[in-house]
Amino acid sequence: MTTGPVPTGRARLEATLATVADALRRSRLPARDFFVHAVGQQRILRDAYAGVMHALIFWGVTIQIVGTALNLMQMQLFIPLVELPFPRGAAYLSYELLMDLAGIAILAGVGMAAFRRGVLRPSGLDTGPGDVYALLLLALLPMVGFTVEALRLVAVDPAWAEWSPAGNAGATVLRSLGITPDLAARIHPAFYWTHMLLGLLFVASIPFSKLRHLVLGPLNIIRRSRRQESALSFIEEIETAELLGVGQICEFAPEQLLSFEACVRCGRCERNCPAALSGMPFSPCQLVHALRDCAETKLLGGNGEDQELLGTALAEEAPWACTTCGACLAGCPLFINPVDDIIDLRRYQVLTTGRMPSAVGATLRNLEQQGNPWGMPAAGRTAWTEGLDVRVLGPGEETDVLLFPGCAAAFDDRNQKVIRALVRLLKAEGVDFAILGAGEGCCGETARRLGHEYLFQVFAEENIEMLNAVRFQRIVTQCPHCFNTLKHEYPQLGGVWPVQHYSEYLGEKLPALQEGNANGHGRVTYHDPCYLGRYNGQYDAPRMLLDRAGVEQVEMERHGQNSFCCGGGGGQMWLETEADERINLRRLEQATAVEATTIATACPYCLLMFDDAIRSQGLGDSVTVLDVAEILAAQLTDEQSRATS
Amino acid sequence: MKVNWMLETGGDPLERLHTFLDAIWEEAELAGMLLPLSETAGPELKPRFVSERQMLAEANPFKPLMTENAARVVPLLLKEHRGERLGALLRPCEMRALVEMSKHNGFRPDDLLTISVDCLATFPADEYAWRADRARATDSLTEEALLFARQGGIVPYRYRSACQICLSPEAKVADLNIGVLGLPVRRQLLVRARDEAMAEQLRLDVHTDGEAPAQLLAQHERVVGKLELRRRQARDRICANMGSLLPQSVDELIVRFEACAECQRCMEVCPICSVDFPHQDQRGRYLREDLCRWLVSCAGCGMCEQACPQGQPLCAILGHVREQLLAETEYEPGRSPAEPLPVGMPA
Repeated sequence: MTTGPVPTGRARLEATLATVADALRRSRLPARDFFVHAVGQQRILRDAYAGVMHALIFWGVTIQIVGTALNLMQMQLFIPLVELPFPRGAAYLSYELLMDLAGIAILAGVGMAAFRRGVLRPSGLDTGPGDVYALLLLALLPMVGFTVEALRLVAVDPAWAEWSPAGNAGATVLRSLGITPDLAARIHPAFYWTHMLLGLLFVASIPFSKLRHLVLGPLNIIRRSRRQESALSFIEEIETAELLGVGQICEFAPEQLLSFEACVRCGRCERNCPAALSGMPFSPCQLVHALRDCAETKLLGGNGEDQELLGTALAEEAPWACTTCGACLAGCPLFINPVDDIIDLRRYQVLTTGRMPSAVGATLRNLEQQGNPWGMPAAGRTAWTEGLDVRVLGPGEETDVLLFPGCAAAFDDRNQKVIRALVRLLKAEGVDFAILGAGEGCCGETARRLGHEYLFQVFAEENIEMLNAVRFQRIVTQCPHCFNTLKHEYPQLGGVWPVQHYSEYLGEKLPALQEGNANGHGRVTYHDPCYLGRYNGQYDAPRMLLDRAGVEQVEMERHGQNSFCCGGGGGQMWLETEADERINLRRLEQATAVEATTIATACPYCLLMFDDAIRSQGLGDSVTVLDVAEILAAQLTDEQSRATS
Repeated sequence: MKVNWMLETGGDPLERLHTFLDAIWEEAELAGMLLPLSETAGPELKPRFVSERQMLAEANPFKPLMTENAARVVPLLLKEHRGERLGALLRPCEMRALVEMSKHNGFRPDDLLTISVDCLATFPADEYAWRADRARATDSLTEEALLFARQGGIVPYRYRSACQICLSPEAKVADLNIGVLGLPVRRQLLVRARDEAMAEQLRLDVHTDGEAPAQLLAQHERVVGKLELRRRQARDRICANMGSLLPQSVDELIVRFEACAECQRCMEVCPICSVDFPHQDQRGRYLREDLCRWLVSCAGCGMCEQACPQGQPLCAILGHVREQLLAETEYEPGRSPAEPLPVGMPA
């Protein structure tokens, strides 16, 4: 061991400062989250009615709590520990006014909440005894409080009574009812103690009612995982981990258990969940709620024989309806992530018990056997390049753009047209590009989202090895799923390169792109693929490309961050769904509702899901689905096309 | 002497097992050993008797493949080598079959030193073939199996259905039992002798790397317990899914076998039938007594299911009927050579 010089006072100070700076740096994001999402409640404000309602209650209660604390100080309860002068003069008058306004705000908010639950009844918002209890308590507290104040004003009748507008109005009513100052002074203590008891009941109720979100909500917001939402958690050293996924409630991570407790069942996730809205027997809200109930039962029941979640607390098929589209977590004000929980459940089923729908087993087998979810012979991966003269990059060779077509483009007939269109575009732009050819393997996205983490890691390692053996400036993918996996998940295994979806890449080259006048497509509506839009924030580039092509664009009601999944993500593409529960049929209805004649998208799964929906509804004559690349490629002049072939 | 010992594997559990077996071979002065020989990376793993010690290097009890039950060859082997001390390296289901066979045939494997290794489950032969084809390294399937010894094996849906529902993958009834389930096999393996005398006789204190730490044993037991629980659930699920297709008694099974006519493929590969083949009456119906005697000894190796041209889920069917038969008894096939069969012996 080497001994350095004894640290001087200055060095020690610097070390301390560095530690403090480090702690501050690490707490920057949680602090920001605390102010934006816990105090500012940005996500609740997205819905105007619920936003105003919640803000009225939140700020009303906050002001009341601070004001009551000041009042208690004035009683000199804490002297000699703390002595805080109670406001006098003008400050006192503002205090009285503010407290009255806060009380009115609470009552207004509670009124709005009662109206919402009783009359508006948004879907996914169930009202149980716990909700009634919380609202009743919140209504009674200010009502009794105002009565206490009114009695005091009747008894004392101070000159500044009008600074307490609610109390003063109450006093007027009481006087008209014949309450004398003497009587008011005598009954005042009874109301005063009722108010006190209600206040104490409120505090005591926090751990036992939905009011727990006062504490657990902000806690969950600042303690949530800082992992990119579109990257699933990585099982490190998969061979030495005793647990793979989650089979029993106690196997969830502490952060996940906290998130179950924080949920207030506001129903936002359910109102956005494509599976729930399509009538599947699944709802993210109910999943989280069932897990919470299970955790609480377990906690109260003590240490006993643990039960497997599936088949007891959750239905056997509970983990298999989710498309991992992320609509639930994008809307949750408390940042609860049901997708992570579902993937953990799937991992346990696939890796540990082998209990899963047969279609999942078949897809995984295809992946293992042929290296693609279609189960097509692996040798056919480059069949689509026939007649296109696409360069295949050998080890050590170099290119500007490494095109990663993905399994859909390689093995699916419909998507082969898209990749061929994309190649024509790249050639027309004179881009120096190449593919890995037979060296390219499935990116592993499907395997990972179906819970087969091991297969994903094997695929990822193989691809990373291949990609490290060649040189390129950037990877461009056709598929948003490949894009997301290469960009956000491969870094977990050490594969870090610039990755772009083709829409983003072509968007950068926009000035060179031929401006078109494609009126052959009629009204075009662009469908946001989840892994391009919601998970990666790329809403503009594809729309800009469509603009460039000169098509008439119309937006569906659900678009952008609020877009509705096609139903094909998270492995759902490969699972069987009851005919009346298909997500793609709902989405097609949303497109036909805006009288679109062409649906444009930028994802092979979306393309196939729409294609399937259009065919099954017999709408082939009135609606078509095209990839953005196909619409753009149709703009190429004959001359450009000839040059490429 | 203690019965639980440990091997330090230094990154290569297979290699360490070879050197350990080599030492035991010498210590017990064996004339030869029955070994699962893996001479190619392909879907072949033959139980073969070898008398040269260097052949140990070809033995691979971890290879996730089982195409025949090695116990079948033991009676003949003992006959041919009467008076010599032999060894046999067996999977747990092969070991159970051997114990049961001795009760049917009356042979006494006293001169046989049995060594069993925890089973990490096996693939169907065709599945093994394409996996081996796809794999880059020659023996990556064995490596993969060992990789997941810590969890007791992952991705169960790929295994032979007999392995998916096997309730006793742990080696525990042989003279020497090598533990791998739940263990960090790149660092340690367990060696457990049948009893103190056996540990003494084989001088385990010399040939192993010390006594097994309690924590290692506990970890092994915990994972084996979990594994057995999950397998039990899988078996219940498969039985539930079969519904009315699942025979509920031996009599129903006899009726079912009538549809098989002269096909006896399941019995031809069965280790129990190799010493006690069930007889049929003149009308071609199996004798109830014979079938009972067969079923109570079933070791669950699943060779029958693999051989069935109809693809019947025989492992679950026979396992279920066996459980009905044994419901009233304490009998567990393969547990101990000392336990008599719960039904009549062959005439």
